[in-house]
Amino acid sequence: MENKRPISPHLQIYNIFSKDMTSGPSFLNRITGIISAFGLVYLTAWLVCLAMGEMYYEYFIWFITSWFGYLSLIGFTFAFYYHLINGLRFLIFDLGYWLSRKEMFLSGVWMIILTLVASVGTWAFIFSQYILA
Amino acid sequence: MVEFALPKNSVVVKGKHFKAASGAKNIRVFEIYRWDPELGENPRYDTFEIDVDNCGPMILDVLMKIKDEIDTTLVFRRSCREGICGSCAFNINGKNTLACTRKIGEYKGKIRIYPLPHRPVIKDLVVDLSTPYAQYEAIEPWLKADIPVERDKERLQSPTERAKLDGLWECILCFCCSTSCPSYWWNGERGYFGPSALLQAYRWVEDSRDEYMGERLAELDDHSRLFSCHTIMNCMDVCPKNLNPGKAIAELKKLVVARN
Repeated sequence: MENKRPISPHLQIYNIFSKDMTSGPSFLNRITGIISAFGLVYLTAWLVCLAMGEMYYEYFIWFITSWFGYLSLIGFTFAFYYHLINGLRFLIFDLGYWLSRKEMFLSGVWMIILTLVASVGTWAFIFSQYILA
Repeated sequence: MVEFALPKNSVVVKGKHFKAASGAKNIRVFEIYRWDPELGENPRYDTFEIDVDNCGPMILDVLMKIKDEIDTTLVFRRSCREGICGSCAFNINGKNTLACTRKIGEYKGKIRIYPLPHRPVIKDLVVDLSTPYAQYEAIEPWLKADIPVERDKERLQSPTERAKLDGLWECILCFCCSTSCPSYWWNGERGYFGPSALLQAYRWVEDSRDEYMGERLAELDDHSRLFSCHTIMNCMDVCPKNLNPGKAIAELKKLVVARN
């Protein structure tokens, strides 16, 4: 009888990404961590190509300056800043601060604003200084 | 391994539809989780059209109206109808709360009433809470003191010491918090005590009359029991008594770390 019992729905019904800024940012933190791990593959490929010689490095540059290369780099930038800033927010939680409903919400909103500003700022800088210049 | 999807026997399918009586002016639609162990079928959700003009104002009134007038086989726990017994805890529109303290008017559109998440279902909205109860028992929620007091005297506490327990003792053990916690979903059966038990653990650690603080903290100094909390904070978000188990857990973690 015992193991025939169904498990009540959880992720399927729970309002994870509600405006309370509790489980939503936490889930995204995991996801951006995984995305950032893929970013490390790009970084490693870059260094390997650099070590292998000029021709391979040219291949890498061809790939990374394609639309797909730019798109993934921009994605990695967002994921990296999100994971970094939300990670700092979690460190503050671990010290026992910002755990009230209001602080939780406000820190979540500021975390997202900072992530957007940092990501857009980084790419605005890269485009203006290196790509369009 | 963490299982994100429901096992095959737990997938919820569409169930019956109960129409409101003709002539009803103010109809609200309720989607309610059903599972009957005797049918040997998958869980289903039944849809009820309720004439809220002929119903009490709270979500619990709707459940009682359904049981009284529409489908007597609906099973749910309830007792005090005033938010102090902690029986009628359900997942309402995606968040755990008490059906008796929530007004129908607080919600827009269709209202979905599901059992507390990620628990074995006993029948309909009643879930098996033996694990959280066992964990509550494991933190030994009673005063432990060896120093004898004088005959006919109490163990005294200053108003400041007593004030430390405010926000901790009010817990009604509805387990809205534990069953809202994704970490408890994946780790609850594997040793994580969950926010409700840990809030009470902190309540006894903080009690100036208790003499077993060190032992209590030693019991919690464990990768699973305490540190499976990842500060997701759904517990604080859903607590119907506005307590903050997440904050209590953060304080416990600090005490455990400082002790080592």
